[in-house]
Amino acid sequence: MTTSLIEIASDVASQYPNASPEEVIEVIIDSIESQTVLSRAISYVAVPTALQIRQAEFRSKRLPKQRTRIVEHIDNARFFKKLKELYTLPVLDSGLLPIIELDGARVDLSPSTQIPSTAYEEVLESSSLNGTQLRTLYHPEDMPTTHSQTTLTQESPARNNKEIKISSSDILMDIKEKEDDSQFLSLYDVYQIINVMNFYPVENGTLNEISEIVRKDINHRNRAFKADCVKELYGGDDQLNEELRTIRPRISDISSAILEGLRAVVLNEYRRLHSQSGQKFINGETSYEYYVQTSNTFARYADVLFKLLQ
Amino acid sequence: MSTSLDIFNQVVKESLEAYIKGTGYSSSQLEPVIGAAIEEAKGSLPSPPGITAPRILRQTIESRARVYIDAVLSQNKVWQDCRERIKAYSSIFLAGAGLSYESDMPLSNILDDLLKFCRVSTWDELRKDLTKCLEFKQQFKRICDNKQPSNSHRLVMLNFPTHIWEIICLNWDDLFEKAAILIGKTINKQNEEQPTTTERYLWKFHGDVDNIREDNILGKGGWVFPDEEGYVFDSFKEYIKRTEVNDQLFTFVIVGYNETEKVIYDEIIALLERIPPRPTYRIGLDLKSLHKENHIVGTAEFTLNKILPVTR
Repeated sequence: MTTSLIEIASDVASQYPNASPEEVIEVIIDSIESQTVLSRAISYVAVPTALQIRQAEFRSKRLPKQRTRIVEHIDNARFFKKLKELYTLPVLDSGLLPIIELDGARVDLSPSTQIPSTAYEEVLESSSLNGTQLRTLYHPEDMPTTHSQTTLTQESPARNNKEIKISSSDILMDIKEKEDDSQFLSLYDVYQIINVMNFYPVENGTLNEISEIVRKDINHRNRAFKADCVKELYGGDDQLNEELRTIRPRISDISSAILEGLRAVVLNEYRRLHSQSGQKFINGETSYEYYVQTSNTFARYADVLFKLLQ
Repeated sequence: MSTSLDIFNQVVKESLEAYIKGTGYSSSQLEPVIGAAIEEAKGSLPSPPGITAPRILRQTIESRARVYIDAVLSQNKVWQDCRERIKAYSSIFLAGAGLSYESDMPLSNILDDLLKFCRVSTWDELRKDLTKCLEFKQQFKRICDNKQPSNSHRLVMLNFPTHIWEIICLNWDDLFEKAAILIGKTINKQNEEQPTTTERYLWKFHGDVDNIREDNILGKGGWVFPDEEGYVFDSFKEYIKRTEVNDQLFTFVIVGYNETEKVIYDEIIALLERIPPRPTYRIGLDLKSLHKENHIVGTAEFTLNKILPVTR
């Protein structure tokens, strides 16, 4: 541990040759306390499974003398498990939409009280998981007891454990399965991919895998909408002031290419969702207010993702 | 973003024009609708902090404007119903400021400029000072002299008096009169209280640039300003009785009018729409009204082309 810290200090000092030792320490402490480092560190930590926790609870009943200590351990484990979920996966505080991170700030996309909750369900419906599943995934204990949700809960706690995906390969596998079913990537999928790139140790193999997912989705969209999604990202920019143009990265590495591809996906998907929502209003299936609120939600979501992808 | 959203107008417009090609319309047919769609889109964006990525902001305006255009074009059935009714029973038209909007008359900023020019800050001040009131009217007339009637004015005049028996115009401008001259039609106009001698009129209860007087007495050439509740000539009420218009079935069409003036609502709209009940259509730009019964969303020119029997 000491050796690792010395190596880190020496690395930081070489990056800031004019900094005093106090300033170097400050940089290290700030970095350690940053969201990204904490997230990554916590993502490596193993947490007990639900089964292990239940076994411990059972043991605590059988061993009354050690009960206090075991219960304390269980509480800590639960806290850590929650912390890990909080840091590595989007949290559904509202039970509906994920809260996502932007520049270290938590961006809550949850509905205001005036907005019909179903508007947000639509965002989720467009992802591989539906709203009920997402709630089950992140807040199994908060599940309301409507019929369908009860059924899900009753299916077994094991199912819930199975659905908690904390490895990048699990997430990507899910997304690829959807893609293989000829579904478009959802905005939520894009968010998951961003998480994989930001919070997991990403090797070249993973990047290639992501690149392939993005490429396949763009091709799928280009065919379906007779469009060129990447070109559309910059279409009309020549008529706008420089600060309003979409930043065109120099595609120097695979990551930049992925980010550009994902921006194209976000723009196209946002347009598709907005159009669907508008068509429902035109067909008289939803009200004007509902259409505006829903499309504004999509817009906010796309806006945040766009910034995460810069 | 501190810059006005107008910076996106041109690029969004071009994108919409490309989109319209696929609808079977030409972009020139939908030109005013495109403008209305863009304005509507800008007005319903998420409230601050809203959207800050320029590309998503632009896309939001574009997507919303597309929905507006699609919504306007989806009203085939209501256009057809309205047109059939106008053809079957003829109609009475009530026109508000929205109709003259397409001729850029009178934009609210023009009225504000005129008030300032006449050195008053409120309509009440203007009413109380007859000299300034007269100056206001003369300046307004001068602006009108440079304006041309829109295609909407022309379409209404083409259908008057066969398919449109009466036109109630609440605007001060003379764009209907100019349109009549352009198509070579003579019209009877009532711009102050006076006995009616014939039938089928253009009614101007709220004032007329062709009738500017030194005083401002309602019904005697006086102008009704935007902060008032409206005015209806007694001679109109007598005319309705004399000609038994109110005993007949006709289609009532309200175009470009927000129905906020109480007197106009109580004495004209409520009467013609409900006593007895008549088919009534409202034409306006507000997308919220898309699914309201007998509301038609769209610009006046585009909609009148769809609902009036005579268009050329």
